[in-house]
Amino acid sequence: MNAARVGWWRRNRAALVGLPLVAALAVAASSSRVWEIWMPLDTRVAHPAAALAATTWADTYEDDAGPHDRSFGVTVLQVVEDPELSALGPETLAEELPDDARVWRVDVKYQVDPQTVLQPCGAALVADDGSRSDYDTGLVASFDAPSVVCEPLSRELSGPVAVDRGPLGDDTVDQEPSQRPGAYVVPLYFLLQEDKTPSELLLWWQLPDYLSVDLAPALKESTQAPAGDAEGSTATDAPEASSPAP
Amino acid sequence: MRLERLGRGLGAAALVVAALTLGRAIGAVQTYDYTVEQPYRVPGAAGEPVTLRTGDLTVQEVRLARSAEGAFRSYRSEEGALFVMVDYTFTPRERSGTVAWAQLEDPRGRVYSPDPRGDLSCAPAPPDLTMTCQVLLEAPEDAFVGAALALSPHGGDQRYDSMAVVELGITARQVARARAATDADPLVLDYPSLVDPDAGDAEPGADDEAATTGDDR
Repeated sequence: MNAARVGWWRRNRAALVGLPLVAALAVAASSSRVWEIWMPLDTRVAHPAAALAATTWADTYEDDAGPHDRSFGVTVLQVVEDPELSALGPETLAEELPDDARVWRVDVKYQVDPQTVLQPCGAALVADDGSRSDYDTGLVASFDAPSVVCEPLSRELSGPVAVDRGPLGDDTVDQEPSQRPGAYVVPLYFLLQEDKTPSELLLWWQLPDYLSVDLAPALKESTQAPAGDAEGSTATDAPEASSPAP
Repeated sequence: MRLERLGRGLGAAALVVAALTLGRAIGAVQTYDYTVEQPYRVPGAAGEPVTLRTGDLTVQEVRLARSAEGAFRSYRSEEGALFVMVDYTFTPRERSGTVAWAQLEDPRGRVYSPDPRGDLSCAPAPPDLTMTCQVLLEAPEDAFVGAALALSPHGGDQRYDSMAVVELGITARQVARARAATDADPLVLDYPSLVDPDAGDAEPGADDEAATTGDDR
């Protein structure tokens, strides 16, 4: 009897060793929902940078045509209060703002190949108390605020978008060659409560990675009112900073 | 020998069936506690701030009427039903936020949604700035007395986060009066807008004579 038992264990040893492994795989296979619920796609992997210094962002994105490497320069030129929305032109304020709201403008300069895909992209402003204002065109400006925060203000100059042929694969994508200039400035507007000052700009082109730009150097610099034109800041000749290389 | 093998096979099959039966029986007997998947209901009353995880919410005004103008169309209430318009403010705390979902819950456990006859008018506000918002929905006349309005920051999935459940304090007299006022002005949905909480009591729609206000008992 005892010998028979040993025989059974020996006969089934491969299955016995495999059983915990299979159980672990089964649990892992059904655990994707845990990830989706508790780890939503958000800004999680920070790559630090500083304002006034050119930063090179390099990553790989994937579309229907496969993976693509890309690399481009990002520089925060200035951070100013700009209640007149001078970069967007007059009459762009969507509504009367309450007394306790302040309009802040952050100019971001891009140096990027016209054919490089930047969208989708996002931006948020973190204040000195750690609170975070998301970029929202609805609040600050009505029509002329850039709805895409990484392309030139003029919509005709927008760059290419990633190729997505959809699940059926029959939607042919014919994109005109991009007319986007090699360098341009995007003025980003944010609303902050009056007691707050900007401390950090978050920019992202592919979550969860994001560029976290320390705004302290630009805040020190900009004590004057902003120039009406977004171009022509003093910081364009800033030295190349080390790449965060995500 | 052959009989013995057959007996063993039958025994194994019986064991498998027994195990399956037992598992099914346990599954049937055990009641699963779904509270872990529910929203965290934070009770409150009209006029008082309700503290949610993402911000503070205050119901400012509750009005009833037989007709309403939503964002895209006008409504006349069905026979035996009324529209309710709830004005509230939301002030997000650490991150831009909004209130994207609402539902009226009556004391009998019935629920009424702004969809399809009604609207929810709200927009994201930056942290510590206050947005005025409105909910418009239709419910039977007997649902209003003792009803509460549930408000959640999440349009899709309200679970795993706090949800305000605000007692609206609607009285039978208010319902009767709204029902009698057949030619009263309709409730009009406004666009959401930022307000200065310190700048007086800006009550949207306060001049609406036909409406019955929350403090009228």
